[in-house]
Amino acid sequence: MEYVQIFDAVRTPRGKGKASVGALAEVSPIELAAVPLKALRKRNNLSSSAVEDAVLGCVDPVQDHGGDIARSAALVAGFDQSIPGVQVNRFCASGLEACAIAAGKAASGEAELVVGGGVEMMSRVPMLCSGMPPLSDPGFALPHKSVPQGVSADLIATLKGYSRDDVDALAVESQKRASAAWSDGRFAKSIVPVEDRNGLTILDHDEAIRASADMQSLGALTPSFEGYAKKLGFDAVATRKYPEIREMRFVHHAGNSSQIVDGAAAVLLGTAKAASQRGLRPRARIRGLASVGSEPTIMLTGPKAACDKALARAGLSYDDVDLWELNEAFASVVLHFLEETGVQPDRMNVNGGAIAMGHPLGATGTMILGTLLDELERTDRQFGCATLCAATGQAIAMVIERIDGDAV
Amino acid sequence: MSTIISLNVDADGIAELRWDDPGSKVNVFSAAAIAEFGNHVTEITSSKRITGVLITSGKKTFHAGADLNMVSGFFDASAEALWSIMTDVMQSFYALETCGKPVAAVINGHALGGGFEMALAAHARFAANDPAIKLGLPEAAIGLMPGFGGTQRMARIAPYQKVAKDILAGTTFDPKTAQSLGLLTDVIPAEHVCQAARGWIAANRNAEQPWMARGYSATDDAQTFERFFHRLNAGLTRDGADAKPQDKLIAEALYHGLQMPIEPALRLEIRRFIELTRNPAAYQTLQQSFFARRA
Repeated sequence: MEYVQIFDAVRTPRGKGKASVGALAEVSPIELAAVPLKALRKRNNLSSSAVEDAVLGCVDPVQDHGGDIARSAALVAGFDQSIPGVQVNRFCASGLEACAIAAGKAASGEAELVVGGGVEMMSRVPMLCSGMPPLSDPGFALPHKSVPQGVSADLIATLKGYSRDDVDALAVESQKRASAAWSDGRFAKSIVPVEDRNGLTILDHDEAIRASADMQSLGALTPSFEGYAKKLGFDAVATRKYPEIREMRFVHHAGNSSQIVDGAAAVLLGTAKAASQRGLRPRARIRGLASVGSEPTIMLTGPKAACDKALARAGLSYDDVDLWELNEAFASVVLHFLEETGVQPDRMNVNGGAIAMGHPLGATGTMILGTLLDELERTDRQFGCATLCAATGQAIAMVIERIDGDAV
Repeated sequence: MSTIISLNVDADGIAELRWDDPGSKVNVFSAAAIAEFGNHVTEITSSKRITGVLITSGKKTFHAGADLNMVSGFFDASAEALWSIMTDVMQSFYALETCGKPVAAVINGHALGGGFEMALAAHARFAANDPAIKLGLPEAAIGLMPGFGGTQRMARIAPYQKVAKDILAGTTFDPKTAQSLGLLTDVIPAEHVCQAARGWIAANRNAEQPWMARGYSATDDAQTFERFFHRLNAGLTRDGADAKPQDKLIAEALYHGLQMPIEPALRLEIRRFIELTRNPAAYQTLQQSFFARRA
């Protein structure tokens, strides 16, 4: 089967996800979702009906995220009324899942040119707004020993013996890399500033980065999940599932967990036929894709299984992959993956991640795919893999291979 | 240089912010008045001597809002220039309502448009019991929309279900009606209004806007809120919104603004206001109403 090609990737800057301080909070979710869609059309000179579907991730699709935001956003972006849109949710993996579904449409022959993307305005529709029966429904929560995600992150750290310094050091590095990447203009290719309808800029940079974060400033932060977990009993739920740890150690806090932000992103992908018909330059091809389920209590350890599967499909090994993007949901997720796979830290999240720039739940998967592609091009490398863990024990991975513009 | 607004502090620390434009029959927000107002607010927020604020008028009317000549000019101004003017006013009003000192408006006569929006940024509003007095946001009636926070503060002080249509229609109220909507603290005989406002200041040293309180929400449950707008949107289209660009922009400012804290909501309103001034149809409507009124 022919490989699906990636033609372009764009994203909005990420605004702080608290409405009183976040620059993007005043934008409507539909309009924010439309920003990258509009940019894809404009940058690629696409007619309004060139794209055949818009698949957008959104994790809490209620209130102003609801009503199939992908369809509304496509119309607001100026897509022809004949172009449908669909909203998908695989929690934090949604943004990459949307691209995977879009790729599947191209691969199956359903469509030639498709948009995959995502949006989340956490300032407007806060996390968990659409409900979390895995935690609330006793029929599920008790037998599966459900805990909130932060507790799962601390459970990984406890099991693997990651110290507070270990997780904080990864967070400091993420901040350093993200601010260096911005200074160096490494996101310039993909960033679409958010403007109001009068053309006034609302936000043109990632708002949450704290370039000055160091071990000392992070060391002063209180663990985020300890009080809550102990008060409600989630520490005991975790130790029932993993009796070998006896006691939970809480090391994650606001500074070494992904930040709550607003943002949207989109990727244009399709078939080689679409490329030649519309004069699009393929920048990469999708070599392998996999979504997996994993143990739901610890929840966040799925990326390795997803990568194993995606790499096998691509006929590649871990050593073949030049650059990795693993969503920094929590610092322990990244440390665990590096330890399990032997991937070198200097190939992982080289331009920082969600700890520094934030994790707009439904959009992040699309954003890291774009970041990966840009960096493969900038450093003239061949293979990249984007992967994310997701709630209730899931993960996704996508292996891409850069197509050198001159070789086409 | 003549002074449009004076600020005098009495022995009790009560500052009187008195509008009395010597060059005009009524008080209006002109570029000069906006600058003076901003300077006075800076003084109010920084002066330790000032412990409370009365906003008063030396004219027969309280305040007529934005100078329509200035507003006409907005249609030719760049979006950047307009953003700068509008956010100046926004910041002054916001600084006033968050200054930590009680602010009361003494409404002795008509308070319209930007004048009423200024009064809404006070913590309390006392009006003379005179049915001839007109209060409210008439902008929409001349094809405009409020831009000094009126959509946001009015629909937070009074129930949005009750005032959304009034803002969209540009309806004005007599004092008793305004009071019944919750927009006025009290309506009393003209000669007692100032004293009542002073008494209120003395009794409310920690006044703050309701929307600054922790846990405040401008909307009721999501379903009621959404359904209100289902009906509103259909009604606006039915009643000719296609020919009234302000309808969509006001409704948007209300729908989105009420779902967020006041600061982004105020920015949102300004962006919709600027958008309206980019619309030639709105300019025509304004000119027609403007000249019709003068004729």
